[in-house]
Amino acid sequence: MVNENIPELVERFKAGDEKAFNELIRIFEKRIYAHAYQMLGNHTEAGEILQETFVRLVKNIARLKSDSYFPSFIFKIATNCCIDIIRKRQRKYVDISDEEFQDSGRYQLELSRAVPTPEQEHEDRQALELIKKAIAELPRKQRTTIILHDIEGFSKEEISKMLDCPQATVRSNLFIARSKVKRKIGPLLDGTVLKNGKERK
Amino acid sequence: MRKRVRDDPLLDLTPEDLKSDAAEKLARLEASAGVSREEIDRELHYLRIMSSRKVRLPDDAYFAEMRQRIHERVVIQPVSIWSRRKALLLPEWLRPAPALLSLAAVLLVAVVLTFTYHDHIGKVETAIVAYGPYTPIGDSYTEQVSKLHEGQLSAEEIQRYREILTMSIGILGSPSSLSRSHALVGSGRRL
Repeated sequence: MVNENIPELVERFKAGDEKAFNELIRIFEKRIYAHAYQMLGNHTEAGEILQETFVRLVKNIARLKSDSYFPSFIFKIATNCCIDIIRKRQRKYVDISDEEFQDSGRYQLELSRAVPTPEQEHEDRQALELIKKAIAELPRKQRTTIILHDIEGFSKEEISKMLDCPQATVRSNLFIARSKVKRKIGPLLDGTVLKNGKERK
Repeated sequence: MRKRVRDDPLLDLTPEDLKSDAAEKLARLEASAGVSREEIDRELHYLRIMSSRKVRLPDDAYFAEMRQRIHERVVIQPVSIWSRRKALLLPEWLRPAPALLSLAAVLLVAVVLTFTYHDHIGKVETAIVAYGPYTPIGDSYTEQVSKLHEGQLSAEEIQRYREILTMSIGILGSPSSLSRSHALVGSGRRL
């Protein structure tokens, strides 16, 4: 999980090097954005979280115990920002319409596929909707746990530190969340995808 | 039930196990935890789908704009050793503590110095002990005036009495509240 350059960049950033800070933003911006999007379900708030995370990072960098913990440190900040928004707005999940965003042509394609065929893109879109919906319906703690573990790839120990809870709690939240998500994304797991409104093998 | 949930060996699988070098871990899991290969493969398939990050991201121009906005909101400064120690030792809710402690220390020094100056450390006296019983200013004034009438005041005492009177007028604005000033008025002198 730790990029070789990250501890060095963090050390330079702590010494007041603005270029190192820029580099850290470049490395983490897309992951933080994606994480916030998964947590909150809309692009407008994901952008706010992206900014707020790096602003809080500057304020709290002195609290980072070891430079190699930086990825979990910054994700903890991002997660807390998301939780603040969820609490503040007193809602589980609100999907502010992304239509405007998607129509604006400001989107790039799925990360794992540089040049997808129209069919692949359609499948990606379907998969995206299914996963998004499945995650959105989870309670906050289960949602946070499954995103950090199964999507971002953090260990249970790191997650327990981020969320200030025992590892056993992380495991049980993860178990319940996985069970619920698996039920929701059944067509994807079975190897069927939705195409033109019909399932195909 | 809860324990069974927490102990589910499939929870040990992570997106890292999708890499080819995880074969050993998977074999160990299959052998020791009593999980079939089929169950492991199904779980890995699930992890592959989830970790492929199917989030549509904005374009690079959007992120450049975000970077600019972040820079407008922050100032990068070197982190001093003191602030690093303070941040690690003090939880956030205790951060204002150093300022409060400094204020408390200043107040403590002021109080101690005051008592030391008056030699009152360890024996705080009541006002009545320290300054004697309370006497209204009118009474003490009357006493002075009557002594003046009776010619019992020395020239030095008269001078001090006039200074006190001047000061009283300055503070109270009018000598009328100290009605005993008629003695002075009667003497034809002006203050």
